[in-house]
Order: sequence, then structure tokens, then C-alpha cells
Amino acid sequence: MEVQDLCTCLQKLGLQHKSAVSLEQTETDYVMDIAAQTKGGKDSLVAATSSNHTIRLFSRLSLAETAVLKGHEDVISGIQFLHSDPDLLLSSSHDKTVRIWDPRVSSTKEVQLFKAEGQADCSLLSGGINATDRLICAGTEKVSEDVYLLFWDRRKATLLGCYSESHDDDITQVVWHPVMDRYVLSGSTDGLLNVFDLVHKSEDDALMSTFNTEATVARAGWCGPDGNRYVYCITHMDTWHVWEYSECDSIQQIADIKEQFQGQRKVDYLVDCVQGSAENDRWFLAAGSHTGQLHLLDLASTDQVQIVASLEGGHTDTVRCLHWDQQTETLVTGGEDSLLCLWSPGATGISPVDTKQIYCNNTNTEDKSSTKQKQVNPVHSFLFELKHRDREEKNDETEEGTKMKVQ
Amino acid sequence: MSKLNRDGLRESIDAVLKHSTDKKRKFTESVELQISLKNYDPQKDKRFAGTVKLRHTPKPKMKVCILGDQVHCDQAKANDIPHMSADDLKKLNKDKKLVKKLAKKYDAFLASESLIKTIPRLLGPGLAKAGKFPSPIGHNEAIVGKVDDVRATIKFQMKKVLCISTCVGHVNMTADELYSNITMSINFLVSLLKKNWQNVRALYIKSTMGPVQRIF
Repeated sequence: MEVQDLCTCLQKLGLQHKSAVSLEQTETDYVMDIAAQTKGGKDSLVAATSSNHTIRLFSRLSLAETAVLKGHEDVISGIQFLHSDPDLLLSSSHDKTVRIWDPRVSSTKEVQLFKAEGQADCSLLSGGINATDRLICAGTEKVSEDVYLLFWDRRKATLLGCYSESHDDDITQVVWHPVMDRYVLSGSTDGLLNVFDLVHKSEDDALMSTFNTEATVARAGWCGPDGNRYVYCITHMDTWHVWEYSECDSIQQIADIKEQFQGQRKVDYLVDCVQGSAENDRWFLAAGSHTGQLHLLDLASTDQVQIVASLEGGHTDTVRCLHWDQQTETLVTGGEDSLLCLWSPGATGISPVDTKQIYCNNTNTEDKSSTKQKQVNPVHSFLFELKHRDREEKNDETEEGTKMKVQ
Repeated sequence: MSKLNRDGLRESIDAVLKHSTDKKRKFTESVELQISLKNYDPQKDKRFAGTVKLRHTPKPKMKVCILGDQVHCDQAKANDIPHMSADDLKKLNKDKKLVKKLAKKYDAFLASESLIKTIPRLLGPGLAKAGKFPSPIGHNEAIVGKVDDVRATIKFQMKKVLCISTCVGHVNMTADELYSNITMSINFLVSLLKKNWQNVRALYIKSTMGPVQRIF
């Protein structure tokens, strides 16, 4: 039942809105990543990163820009809205920081900043926060012989710990399980996907499964039945892989999708997975051409991959990211043409003249009241070794009151 | 391949081979392909990386070890290929030093599908850290073919500099074999680039100790 619905939804999509992310005419800024509030629905916001180091927020259904977050000094590698507090947005960057933003407070200063230290203080190529908004994880680039998965407790700025034994090259993807707050997936250009269970103390024990794509991981995530029990991966060579996360069964491995579509409807690259609600056991793959056509592929039969819908008239260049919202049945896509496109059921498309360059004068009222950090009830204790190669961290308890030397 | 001068390539290959025979080294020199890119921004554009299987093995001396189930270990024994069974792995007792030693001993690993799931539990992350996590072999696959595949596969990755180098052969191969490997590599690399030949600034081949020969 559910299967038929998602497929039908995708087939009904038409272009509704386009929104340009940058005003620069000379050099186009790419839209590199999209995140959406987990609550979904018609009032929800969508965030898009631009290669000019800014994050822009848009209202989903009108693509009207609501805020521009400036502050990162280098490429932004990942964005994610928080779960329980959907106004907050987390971002990781090559400028070695993870930041949490509250656009209601300020769009030029983050409300929280997280950094690593010592040898682990390097470019962050990926980042995310877990389902209970308690733990932040970021993956670094490889520096000399080491590469790190860094962990922070959101309530503290200092690094909680790191893993450094499970990858051999840049960690390009870090994705927490959308519901189970103890599992995190990391993907690297060493070709491996690792799944960690953070209930365990040490890195060795936490490492649950390792999958070898025999290529380099470009995009990874969770999908599948029973609340997303599968991990998926798209490599830089556009091969597609799906495995079950704990029993490690191979679900799907397709290496030749591009080769199957070389005619009129061409596939030059894979974008991302499109899936319905967590109970859905079917998913679709979005693939595109460098001229901006986007095709939604049905992978049910691995021998005969089929196109269920082609989305045209939207992008004019490579599509880099997307987000599907089950509630509104809309798809938002972002590309190297600097555009965001909204595809909704039954829309008949817009004329090319209608491409709005929407720039929002930041009318967010300066709300000076600081958002109080909610008291989070500790559900689990995530304990793992602190690994510091250079200096040991001594926690000095600041003592209240003065010490009086009694003579 | 229309952009590449075939005769020019053959001449360059001959030059590389001649140079290696003129000045014979004490080891078998590798032949590398170097590609330098243009119109590509590593900050914005998608990473350029992948693996490709060549027709003629560029690294025949690559040491591969099979981590196998009963069937695969028997095949390995029959073909004189080093192997270890699940029990052998258990004997390592997840000792980091032993796992590291094992990783150093071989260039690559292959593991039966049934065994590969247990690697993190049996050995910990040691093989992954060494960049040698095994590739899977299906239960019904013959290992000899897979071992040859592993030896014939090259990996390339663009980091921050617009230049990549990969090993595509060695000086004891014939000119035809080198020609085949080089054209195959170039075709694959160019097909992965967004603007194909418009992204290629130059191509070179060279032997390990020899001078560079420009081919594009």
C-alpha cells in the first residue's frame, strides 16, 4: 500500500517554485547541501548551504528566504536541524568548527561553537547530531597519518572524546540514525562505511559493522523497513550500495546505473535516496544529468532499473542535493546553478522568466533574550575513552570560596 | 579517445621503456599515469575519486591473503595462496599488535561473505586503520579470479591539488599491454569528469626513475 503511494507521489511532481541562492553573476555559487526541519509539514523551513560559506533558510512551500547565516570561514560540510528544538540548526565546516545557530537570536553569530584540540583540530568534512540532540559527531580530513571522529556533548564546548582507529582517509559522511540515538554511521574516502553503537565504552567495542564499497564514500544514510535498519551509500564513482546495519546482509549493490541510462534521459551522476516514512520498505534513487534533468529511479528490480519520473525545467546544471517531505509530498532540490527548486504534486511548472532572485532583508527582530538551554534528562551514559595524543586534560574543579591557610 | 594522439602515445610508451632498459635499475620500475586538471574547483566541485580494473595487472607482486570459509580456504590451498580461517583469526585474540602485524604482511585481503561480517568483532578496527579492510568474495565465487581482480585494480583520488598520479603498469610489460592499460585508465578518468576532456589540462606518463613524457 505504502509502496504504491510513494511511487505515485513522485510521479505527480511538477515544478512549483525556483529560488536563487546567490546574487553573484560572475561566478555561480553552488547549492551543496539541504537540510529540513524534522517536524515537516507546510510551515517548515529548509536550509541550504552555498559554496560562498553561507547558510540560507527558506520557507518550504514558497521558497521565500527567511534568513542568511553568516560566520563560517570556509566550506560548510554538513547541516542538520535539531530534533526537539527545530529552530536550531547545526553546521560543520572546513574552518574546523561545528556551530549551532538560532536564527531568531542572530544570523551573524552562532549560539554555540564546538572545536577540537591538539592534533584533532583540523578541517571537519562532515557532522551531525543524534536523535536526542545530546551528542554531536564530526569527521575530519586525514592529517599526517590520522583521521578522527570527534564527539561533543552538546551541553559543553570541550571535546568529549574521539575515535581514530577505524578509518584510513578523509571522513566525508557522518550520519546519526534518525530515531535510535545510539547509532552513528561514518563513511570515508578509504571506501569504508562504519556503524558504531555508542552504548559501549571503547572504540573497539563500539564498532559494530564495517562495509567495504571498494571505492570512495560520497553520500551515506539510513533507509529501509522497521525504522531504517539499512545503511545506504553512493560513491564518487556513482555506484550504489545498501546493507543491513547489524547482520550485515547485502541488500543491493548496483555498479552500473549510469551505463543503463545513456540515451535521451541521461544519468551522469547519482544524487541521493528518496524514501517515504520510516515504515516504508521501498526507496527511490534520484539521479541527474549535467544539464539539470533529474530522474527518480525505482530500484526494486536491480537488473532492470526503471525511471518512474523525470523532473525537468528546473535546474540547468548538476543537481547536488535534495530533500523529500512525506507530509507535504514535496521535493526540494539544489544544484550547481545556484538554484533551489520546489517540486510539488500537480504543479504544472513555471516559465523561465519567473526565476526570482529573492533576497530577504533580514527582518528578524533582534531578540536579545538568550534561549535557555533545556535541561535534558540523561537517558544513557555514553562513555568512551578520551584519546589525546599530546597533552592530558586535567579537569580542575574550581573551588568555591577562598582557601584560607590556617596557621 | 579522439582527443588523444594514438601514435604520440605509442612513441611515449616506447621512450619510457627504452629509458628503463638504458639505465637498468635493481627493481622493476612502475609506470605511472599523471593527470593534471583544469576548470575544476576542489572546494565546490564533487570529489574526483574512484577505482578501475585494468586488463593487465600493474602490480603482479601484490601479496593478497584470503580470510576464508572452508570452501575458499581449500581453493587457496590448492592454488598456493596465503589464507587464514575463522579459527586462525580467533587465535589472534583481537590483539592490536598481532592484527597490525598481519596488516603489514600483506598488501590486500579478501574475505568470504560469511566471514567479513565478523571482522570488526574478531579483529577490531586494525585492518581498516591500515587501509586494508578486505573486499568480499561471494560464496560461489572462485578466489583465483578475485585475487587477479584485486591485483589489477587501481585507485585514484584527487585531494587539494589539481594533480593525480596512479600506477598503470611496469617496465616489464609489453608496449601493447601498457598501451591498453593507459588508454583504459584515461577513458575511465575522463568519463568521470563533469566536463570530460575540458577538465584535462595535461597527461603524462613516466617510469619510477625516468623522466616525464607528455602525452596530452
